[in-house]
Amino acid sequence: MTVNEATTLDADYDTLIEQFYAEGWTDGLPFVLPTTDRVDRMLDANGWDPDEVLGSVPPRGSQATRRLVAVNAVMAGCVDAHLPVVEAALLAALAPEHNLNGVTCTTHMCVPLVIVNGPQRTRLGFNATDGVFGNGSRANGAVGRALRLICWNLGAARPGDQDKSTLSHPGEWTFCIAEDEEGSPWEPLHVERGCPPGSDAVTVFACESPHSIVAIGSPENMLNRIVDHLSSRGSNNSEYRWGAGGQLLVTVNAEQAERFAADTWTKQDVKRYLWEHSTCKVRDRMDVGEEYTSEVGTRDGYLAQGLSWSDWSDPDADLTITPTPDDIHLVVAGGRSYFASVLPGWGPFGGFAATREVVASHTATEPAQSNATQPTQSNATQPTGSKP
Amino acid sequence: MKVYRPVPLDTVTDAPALAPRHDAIERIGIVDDKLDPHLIDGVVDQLRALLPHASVKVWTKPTGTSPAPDSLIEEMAREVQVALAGVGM
Repeated sequence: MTVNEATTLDADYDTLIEQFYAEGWTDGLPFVLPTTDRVDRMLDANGWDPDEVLGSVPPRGSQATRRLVAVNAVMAGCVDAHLPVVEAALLAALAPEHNLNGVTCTTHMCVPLVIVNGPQRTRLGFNATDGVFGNGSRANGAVGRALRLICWNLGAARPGDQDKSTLSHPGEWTFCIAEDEEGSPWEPLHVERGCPPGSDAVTVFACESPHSIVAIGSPENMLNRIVDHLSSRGSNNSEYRWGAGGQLLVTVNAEQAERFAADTWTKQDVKRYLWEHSTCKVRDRMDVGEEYTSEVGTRDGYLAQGLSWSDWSDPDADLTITPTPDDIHLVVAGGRSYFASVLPGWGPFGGFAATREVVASHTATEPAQSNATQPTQSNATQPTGSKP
Repeated sequence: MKVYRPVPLDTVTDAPALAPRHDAIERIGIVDDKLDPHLIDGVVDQLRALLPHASVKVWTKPTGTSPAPDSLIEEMAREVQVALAGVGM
């Protein structure tokens, strides 16, 4: 166990900037210097006790005091009102089912994606629509990067060190979206996962970068294209269909969601269709070959413990892509178009979705809306009241 | 301009009790993450061949991708002078 001390440095601007790079205290992108004035104001605005510990950040295990969280949030470009969102994202990432230790240390490319729900999306300027996984929004960029910098500085999630990702993906800089609740006919992700309607929440799910899918036509036509991606070989979900399970994220945009709703497809209907049609046979996963010898051992280990949900003794038995339809997370996001996306997870090893409500400060100043893209409202053709 | 360091100054406060240190390595511990038994067996064989006078003991983690529990770490620290653990899956 360790204790953390707040320490300060005193020098001119250029010297400090170069020292941060030299010490490896930033991810390589430009950053905001965490001046004591700026950080203390952020803490005060949120009524935070600077020395309170939110948890230990694996794999290094440094304690995330509220001060250190605020320091890294300032570096990432957050405003005061973003801090409770960062806190919720961190707490979700530290949930046991997310297994941040494994997510950081794995050779797989998964990175925790932050999914923002609730009224905070519009209040704080999160982008849920056009280019949702891309650039252009301060809130998405800063909150996502704050979590990454916390992992970087407190968890030592640095490539080649504790971060063993073979390839990683650009989400390691920042990886944050909001759900287009106004464009969705269905209940939003956080409500589906147990939060009260109208609440603010964050869900963290470790996944690959989005795979684009042209999904057009009838609901079945759209879903069959998505199924092909869910089932394609090579992803962790597809290759490791055993153990404690695996999860996936699928996004459809508001136009596609409306098409489903027009044909009375519920969110559960969509998830069940994807789950039922993305199966393969046991024999299709018995040919893993010599290069996967160690993983065969893993599978056999899981089977020996009775942790698999499929009958591996029957070559004709169906293997599902996830244990249940609810392990396929469905989020409405992106611009109105043909494109959906699939984001494979880490398979049965962890990175599972964890959701935490955001406890917002009443005093933190919200950002100027002109600083952030704000297409959430303008992109929606269905009023919020049309949701069930 | 005064800024905060973004990393803590970690101070070890309750390091586990350590096995006695000697000039020669006498006891080696390996953390088996259950992800590749053949690899672990190979490492054990190699160590025994290279250091015939040292004992090699394997501790098995409950899961492959989560950290070893504190009790396992403390037990290893008490018993061995060198611990081997892998990172990455």
